Amino acid sequence: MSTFIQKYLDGAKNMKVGVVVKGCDLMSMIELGKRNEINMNNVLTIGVNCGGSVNPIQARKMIKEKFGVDPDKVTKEEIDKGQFIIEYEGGHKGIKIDELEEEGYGRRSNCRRCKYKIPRQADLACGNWGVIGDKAGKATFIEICSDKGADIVSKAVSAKKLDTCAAEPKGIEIRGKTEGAMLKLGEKWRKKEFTALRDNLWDFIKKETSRYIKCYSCIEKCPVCISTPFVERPESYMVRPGYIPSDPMFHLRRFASISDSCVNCGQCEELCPVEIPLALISHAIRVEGDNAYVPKLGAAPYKN
Amino acid sequence: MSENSEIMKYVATTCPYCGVGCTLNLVVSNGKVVGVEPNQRSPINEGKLCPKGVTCWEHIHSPDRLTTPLIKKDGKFIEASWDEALDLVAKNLKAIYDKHGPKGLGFQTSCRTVNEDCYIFQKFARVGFKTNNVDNCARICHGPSVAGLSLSFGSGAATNGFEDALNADLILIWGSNAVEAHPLAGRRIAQAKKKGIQIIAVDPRYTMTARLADTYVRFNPSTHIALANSMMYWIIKEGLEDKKFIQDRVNGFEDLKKTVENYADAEAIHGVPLDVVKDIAFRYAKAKNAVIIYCLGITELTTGTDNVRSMGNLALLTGNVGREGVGVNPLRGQNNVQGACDMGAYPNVYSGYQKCEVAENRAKMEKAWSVTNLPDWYGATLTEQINQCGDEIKGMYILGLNPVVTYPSSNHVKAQLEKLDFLVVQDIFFTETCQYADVILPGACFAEKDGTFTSGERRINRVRKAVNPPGQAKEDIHIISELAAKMGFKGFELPTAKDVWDDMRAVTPSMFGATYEKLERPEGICWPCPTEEHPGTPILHREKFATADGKGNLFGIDYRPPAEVADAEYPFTLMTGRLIFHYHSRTQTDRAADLHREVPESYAQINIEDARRLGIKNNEYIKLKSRRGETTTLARVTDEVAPGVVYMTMHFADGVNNLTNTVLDPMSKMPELKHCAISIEKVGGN
Repeated sequence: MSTFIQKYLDGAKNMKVGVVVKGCDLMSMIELGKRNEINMNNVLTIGVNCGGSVNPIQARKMIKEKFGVDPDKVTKEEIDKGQFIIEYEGGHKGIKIDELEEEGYGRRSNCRRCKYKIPRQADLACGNWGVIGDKAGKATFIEICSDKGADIVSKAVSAKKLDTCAAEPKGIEIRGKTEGAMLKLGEKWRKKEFTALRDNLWDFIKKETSRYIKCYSCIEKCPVCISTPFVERPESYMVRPGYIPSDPMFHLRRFASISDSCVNCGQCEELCPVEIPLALISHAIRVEGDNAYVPKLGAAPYKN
Repeated sequence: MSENSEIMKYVATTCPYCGVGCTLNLVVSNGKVVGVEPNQRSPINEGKLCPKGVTCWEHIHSPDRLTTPLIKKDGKFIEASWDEALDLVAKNLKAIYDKHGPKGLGFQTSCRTVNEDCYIFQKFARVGFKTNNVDNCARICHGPSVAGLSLSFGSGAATNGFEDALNADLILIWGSNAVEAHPLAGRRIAQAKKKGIQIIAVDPRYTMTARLADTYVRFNPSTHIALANSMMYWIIKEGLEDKKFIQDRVNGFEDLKKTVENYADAEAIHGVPLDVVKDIAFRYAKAKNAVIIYCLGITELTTGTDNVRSMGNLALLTGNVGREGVGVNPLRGQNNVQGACDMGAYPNVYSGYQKCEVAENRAKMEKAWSVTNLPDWYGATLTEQINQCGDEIKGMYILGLNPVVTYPSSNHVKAQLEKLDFLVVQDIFFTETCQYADVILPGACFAEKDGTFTSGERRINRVRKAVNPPGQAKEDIHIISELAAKMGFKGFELPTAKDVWDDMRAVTPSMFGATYEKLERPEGICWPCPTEEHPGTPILHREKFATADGKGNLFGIDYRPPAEVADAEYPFTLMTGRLIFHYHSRTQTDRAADLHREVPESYAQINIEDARRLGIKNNEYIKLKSRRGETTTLARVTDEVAPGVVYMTMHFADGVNNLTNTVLDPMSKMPELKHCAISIEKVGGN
């Protein structure tokens, strides 16, 4: 999403864009904004709460294998109260996310580790968490997070496109609880996956990156990794063109470059044709770095 | 992003490069393709792409595209109108046909273009000129797979899909560097490895794919049959063959058993120590489900068909055919190499492999096409047509091929094309072959036409038009259709790709049910798909084989050495293959900035010891010579190849095919592209 605006819409430098974002989309856009790749003044962001996403093909597999349902018959799917729930022609079914993920199904691995569930640095932070009672399924929560956000809501109300009412205290409480539960789950996954890397980190990186085939998706689709132009780039003494697997510095320089900015959007890993867990590695580096050192250029506006 | 955006849209289509058939989204803005974005709903690649896939859009709007018909006058190409160009083509094809008959013309189509182009092209040749001299470049790629698997199993195609490898307990990958040549099929090997599935890689080179394996077996180039026979000897010796499967479903066991008796220890031929042979044989035979994945290492030899049948032998002997996680799967090279054959752009079959020699088939096609006297003879194959230039063949029509670079022995190809009275080349760029043409017709690239590609797992995938062809260039089916109209041929009034497809479906039982409506699904359809209700057939030969008696065939096959082996004068063995960064003659890939930067010029891999002995340093120029020509290239010094072996990729003009051998596999007419003898010398002297 963020790199789409950067690449195809000229970073919204000459146009206004309204965009619905999950936490990872927003963090990516903020980082691209900092790098002058997107003009965030021209972007209106409508955030939605997100408990994590599932790759569509993996979702179809899970629905078939774990739910025993033909994925073509499914009309709705959601993650709610710790369950992955599907509705289909003739019924609905829920299975605990924990159970699915223990067996290798479920959310993308970066989503499991995510701790930015309600994107409050957006202009509006919406979503169904905390929408209760007779409004459940019919309304959205709106947290107004900026003047721009306030403006669009008031305009939408005066144009009679939107009905609003004050949030119920019970709803606010539930929204908070849901978010809290998801953050706890995110921390659980970080502990599990980062700890597993601890003892054998160098070997792990070496083994996994040895399959690298230079599709460059992990650079092209990364919101915090902007290549310098190849024209007039000094010759590298450590990374030779034309060699696969690539020379090790290819990976080291990329990890180093994005070390304090990886937002764990997971695109590098999602698009990797040879299954290198790139997001896991760079996310671990950033989390450890953020914890151990004072940020070089000031803290990020989001907290992940 | 919305698919209906005014500013921008995504067009889901199929990658134009290898036979994996990845789905991708072309990003279209103001009538131009401006990028490629992932299509994560594709079960084939889940949005992931290789270096070629992500850059496949970059050549579409290249200023080098052919945009107008060209006619050669006094040795120079002059821009012409479509009318002039097509009139000239019609006049010359007619004159040659009138004077020399059906065998005076040759028709060659690319496996890179859509099924619809291939179908209408072979129909044009057969209806218009009563000739079976029509072939496609599968001939120099997986022709032996079509021939060999047909003999073994009754169907010349992969038995199981790419992802199905994840259902295996053991993967035997033989003569395939999937990670480079078919990266998204290579991904399945990487996934299998993570899942703990055993992987055995058999290859003379320690490739990217071999590096994934638990066991890498280096063997001497082109000794497949000896190694497979030795494995089978030990499998039978230990009683590990699947006796019930053989009894119920297989012919020829005694013949095989007798032949492999002579291969108890064939290390002298293949170079693999006996204990390793036994180990991989027993592991393959004992695995509950084992799949063989192979590629051009097996096929591009004078023993190609027998090598393929040897893979069939291994699978039949151990009962590894006809269910999930097993089978014999050639990784088809080009995006539509399966489809071009399926469409009948082949000198002995119509679409769906209906043999021309069978009178009922001819009668059926004559009725469907409203013609008489369709030929029953076996037409000249791709390189046979080249050999016949100037003799039987006086005129040739080449659609989307670049023989001057990609066929064996470039000097021979050039000399032969010179002998033609008339050559038409239909293409998207001015290739090296265009120089030999009398008329050049500008066609449409993959992003400029609707149609289908059929991938290596028999999956028919949709190709969707994103933009118009440049200048006056036209969709290829329209070119053929207009030419047919000029020549007075009936049955070519097929304005859309769907019309051509339906024309094909109507005469092709194995694909009758694969309608465009059904192909809209991201899953596509794997043929056979005989009825509109049929879901397609991802796995072949479940209950019975596609042979006449329903049984698989084992064959006793003896090892034969390649046609030309290293000797005192030409002491090195040359192997050929592909790079991940380029596709074939680079007309498309070299116009992508990243790909050009990675490998801008040709190199040859040479073993460290040989390089030391010859005083050759990494990255210096060397001259390679064979009996057919010479080429200068960079040396890449490595232990990926064994001493005495040189490896070079096929992508560069006046490159490796200046050296390669034209001698043919007698059964499939495959030239021996992967084995010849060469000498090496330093260019700079000592």
